Amino acid sequence: MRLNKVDKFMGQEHSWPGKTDGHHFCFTPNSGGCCTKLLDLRVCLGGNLILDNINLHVHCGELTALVGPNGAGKSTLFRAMLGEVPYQGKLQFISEVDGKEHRPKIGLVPQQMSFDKTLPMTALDLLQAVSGQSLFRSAQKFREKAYEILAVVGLTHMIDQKIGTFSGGQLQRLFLAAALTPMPDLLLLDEPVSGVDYAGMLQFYELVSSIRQQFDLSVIMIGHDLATLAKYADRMIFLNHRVLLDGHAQEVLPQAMALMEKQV
Amino acid sequence: MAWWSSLISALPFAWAQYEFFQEGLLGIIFIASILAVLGTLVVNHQLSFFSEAVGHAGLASMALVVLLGRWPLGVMISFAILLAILIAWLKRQRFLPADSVVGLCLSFTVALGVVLLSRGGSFSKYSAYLTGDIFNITGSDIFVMAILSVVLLIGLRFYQRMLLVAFHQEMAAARGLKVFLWETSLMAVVAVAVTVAVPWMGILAVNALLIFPAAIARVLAKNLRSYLFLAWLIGLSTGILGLIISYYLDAAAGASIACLQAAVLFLALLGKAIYLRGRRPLRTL
Repeated sequence: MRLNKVDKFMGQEHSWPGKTDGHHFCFTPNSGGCCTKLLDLRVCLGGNLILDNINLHVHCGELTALVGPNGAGKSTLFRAMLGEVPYQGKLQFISEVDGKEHRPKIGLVPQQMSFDKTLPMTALDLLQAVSGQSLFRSAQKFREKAYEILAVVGLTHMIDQKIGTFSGGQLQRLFLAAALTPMPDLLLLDEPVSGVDYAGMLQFYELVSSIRQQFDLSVIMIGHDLATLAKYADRMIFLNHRVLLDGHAQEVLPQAMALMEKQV
Repeated sequence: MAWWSSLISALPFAWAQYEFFQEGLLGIIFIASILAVLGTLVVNHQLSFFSEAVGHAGLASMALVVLLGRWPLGVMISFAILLAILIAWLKRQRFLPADSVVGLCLSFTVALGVVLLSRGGSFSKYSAYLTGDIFNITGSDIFVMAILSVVLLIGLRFYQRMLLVAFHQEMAAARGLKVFLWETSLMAVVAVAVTVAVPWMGILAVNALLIFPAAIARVLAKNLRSYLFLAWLIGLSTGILGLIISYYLDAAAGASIACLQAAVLFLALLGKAIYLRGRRPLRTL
């Protein structure tokens, strides 16, 4: 019985059905037995058609790069998936445990990381807040869980440090840890490396790539450095109000770059 | 209340023997605690100007009570909630920056209050609302504050959600929190607490009791738990001490407490600066 490391972390256990039991609804090499589907998604805002006919199929363990010019609707797609903007169409997650469909639990690493730096909030406090645990419940038990998730992003030594003192790269990783608390079905990263240097960007991509393998997560990441993204992503989707390209990252890359150059 | 009276009158101070002071002391324990805890959320959500506006809108609230001549508490609470919802809605329309919206509401409600109360040249008899009078508090007023305290204690279970909304709205929305609803609810609660406290703390000083304890706690706290606890402790202790000082100075209690809190904040900032300077490594030439 293979234990999902995350569910063991959160105190739950379940078995992975295995690749040959016939209960998988979507299965590609290197992917888990669960997936997130967007079916005929359409978003109209203020009389403008922002997104049209979006059909996506994102598998567990798959890192999908979502690229496109400014104003293409990438962030709007994320907001629609989060339920912040109204949309037509369907968003569903198919669980690998029972094969049933439900709305996915979504973790978001936002683009804007600005916040009140004078707030006396530590990394532990933030993780406790996003986990929904009351401030007045025992901190010790949660501390152990928080320590485990911070270990994933390499920030255990900063568990009691005020987040106002974190560097840009550390904040990125902390926000990633917050998005993974509790473990979501789908992880969305909205230009997570804006404002970070090249080395920091590569480190972050490595981290995201290893996390999606470690926890069998479906990951969609918005970015603008297509060439670097393509090195880490399994798949690349070029969006400009509609899906114009969708395929293996390295195969889509040349056409995507050509399309981006056309926009300039 | 008899048990409270006998407890306080056992203290070896002149002020402890007076019933009005005993009641004022009990009132300040509740008011200072409520405002200090709420103040942490006010500062987190950057609602300091809003709470100042609500305090000043107490003039209009008082004017309505005088006009209607009945249900003072009901009128005050209803007015406070409506004002909070109005400001939240106006901010959401984004036709002006948020602080301008609050400024407009402040100006209007103050003007409305002054117009209604100054009719016939009678404003001077309402000037006590500017400074407040905690020693006018009665047993039923204390009961209302006690109820508010219990409501606040129960509401603290939502503190983490409020915190997330204040910290990062996008992150909070991604967690399924209705940001506008949570913010408007907080504004309504703050408006009610401030409006109810105005008769005793005064329009001019009530906001200080919200902001100062949270500000001092921010300087000293290492994490959220200590931030909340320190804000409450500082609010309570400066509230009691300020009340005693106001007795000896024969000055308004609310303003005395605010001055004391300002002094404590200054000392906290100074102390922290000295402490940090002592910890910094020496510069090498």
